[in-house]
Amino acid sequence: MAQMLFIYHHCRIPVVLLVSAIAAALTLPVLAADMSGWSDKSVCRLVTTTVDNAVYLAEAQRRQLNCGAGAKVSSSKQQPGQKLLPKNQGIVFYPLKLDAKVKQQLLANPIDKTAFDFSPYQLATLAHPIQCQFKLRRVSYDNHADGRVENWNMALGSMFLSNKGVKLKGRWRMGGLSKDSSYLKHEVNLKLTTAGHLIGKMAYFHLNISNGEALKKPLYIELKPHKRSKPLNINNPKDAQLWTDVEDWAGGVWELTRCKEYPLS
Amino acid sequence: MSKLIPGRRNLLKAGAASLFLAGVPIAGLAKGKPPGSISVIILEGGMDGLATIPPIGDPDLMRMRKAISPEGYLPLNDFFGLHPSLKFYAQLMARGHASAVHATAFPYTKRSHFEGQNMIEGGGLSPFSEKTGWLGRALDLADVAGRSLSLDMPLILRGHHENDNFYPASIRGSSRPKADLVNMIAMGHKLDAAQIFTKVARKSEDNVQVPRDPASLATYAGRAMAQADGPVASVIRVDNFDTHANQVEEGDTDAGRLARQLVVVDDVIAGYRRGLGKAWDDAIILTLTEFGRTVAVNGTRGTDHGYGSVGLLAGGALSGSGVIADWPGLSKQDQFEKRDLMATIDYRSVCAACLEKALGIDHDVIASQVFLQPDLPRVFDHLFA
Repeated sequence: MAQMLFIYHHCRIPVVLLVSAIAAALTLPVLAADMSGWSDKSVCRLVTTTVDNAVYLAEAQRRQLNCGAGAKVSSSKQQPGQKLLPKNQGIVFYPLKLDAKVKQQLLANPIDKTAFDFSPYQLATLAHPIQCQFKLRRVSYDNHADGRVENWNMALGSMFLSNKGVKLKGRWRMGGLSKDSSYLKHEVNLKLTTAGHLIGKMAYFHLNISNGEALKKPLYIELKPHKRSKPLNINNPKDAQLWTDVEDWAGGVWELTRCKEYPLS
Repeated sequence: MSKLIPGRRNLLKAGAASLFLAGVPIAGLAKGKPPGSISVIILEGGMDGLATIPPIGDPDLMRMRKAISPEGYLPLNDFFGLHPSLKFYAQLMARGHASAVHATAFPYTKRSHFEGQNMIEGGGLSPFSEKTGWLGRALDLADVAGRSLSLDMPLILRGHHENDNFYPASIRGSSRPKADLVNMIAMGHKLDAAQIFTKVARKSEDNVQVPRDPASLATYAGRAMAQADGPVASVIRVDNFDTHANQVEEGDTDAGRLARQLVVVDDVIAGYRRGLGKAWDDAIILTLTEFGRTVAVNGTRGTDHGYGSVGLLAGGALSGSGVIADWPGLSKQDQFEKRDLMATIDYRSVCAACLEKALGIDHDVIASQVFLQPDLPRVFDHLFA
């Protein structure tokens, strides 16, 4: 600046030229400046808002920035990894890259609490659906190693067995949350095997909850063929007694009675 | 590298929660059921997005937050991790049914719970500017005027249609006075509306207990929404995210207040999944929180009110799993007012995209009539394309 004033003073350059020279002197260093101190955001802002953005675009490209439409590069769905810290690139979708083993573990966990793998079992193919009355009774192992069937009903109602699965209509009698009929309706995933056993997984209320007691969520138990069961004869269904293990101190037994086939409607 | 450690799950500690259902189609009024459903989980208190989805690839994270960053995070990719409390959410992510939007917020920067909560429910341009909520206005547009099942009508569900409300706790037969009240309300209405209340009154006489923990409410809501004539929207509130102190336990950054509340969120999402059944395929669940937390840790193993946070999305309607962000950086000069995570994505855009998908309303209409901002950016393709 001092040099310019010196030149002006000595050479008598017209004022207009002097102003132009000063403006150029103020602008050029900026354009030619080292922009390393500028934030990515500032560079991008200049790229997208300046008409003649070649200098800024070059800087953005040098930094591997993605500044959106004004930068003449796509801003969407760009994969990360162009640089260590992908700042201010526009909206980026960072896809899931789970470790293969972790992903396998996550996928192995069932989403549904009643999910059950039926593939190891030979499932019954019924010519006609079967309807039974059922009572679920507790088997106590407290003082009886072989178990003692208690003379009261944990749940009772009707059981509909078809090739699609087992549907229960009835109610739990264990108080608390068991009064919600949706547990029998929605939280049951059972099927019948060719040998007449019930298999699958279901919500199971094994504890009585009295009025005023804190509610307890059901257990989700697996039903599998039990050596003490008297399975259902799927060719001539009458009745059955199907045992299930729940906890060390207690289990359950399904007593199916008045079973009959009914024609498909 | 830290991994998601099975067996570290904290027991569910049911926090205060409430459920609101809305958008029950009324015969003669509704055009038809929209293409999907939308459920909002409001996380009251301001959830710490940097701990929920830690940006593990940002070197400033550990420099500034080592004391509270979860060690047992699940690495989602090179840049983001997932808090170990979100185990079910991790399963959904592995199946392509969950995504997160990071460094996002409603355009509210004053850090007041009252104003912020009003803003995220009202969806207006400033706190307390709207008497209706963004979800209610969207339901108006979708022509699914209906009845909210709630003790009070939350702002987020208030629309221009006259929405009456009913609290799900009344469905337990022990509260006979409430059943009588519903009958009286039914008598005060005509035709279709009266039928709705008669139906509700009948329900209240069922011998059914609706548990009040958040996950059970979500299951209940999901089942209701899965019905052919069920509601298309629901809102569940979960509080206790204001983690000024003991956000993490001393010596265990995977445990603490935030970890416990994230377990609740995880269980709520699992509850929705269980309740929705096949309707999950068309469902969208998203979280809302009034603001994020400070980048720096305070002196009580906690964080203070901030700005940008994270939004968790889940549902079969999503097109894949990942994290969506315009990452602003965590260094001091990158922070909002040199203290908070900068929000670079307007979360109203995310809500708008979810409404567009679930209710089938055009983005421009949502932008101008729901969020009252015609130039609201459209981020639909990032979530659903």
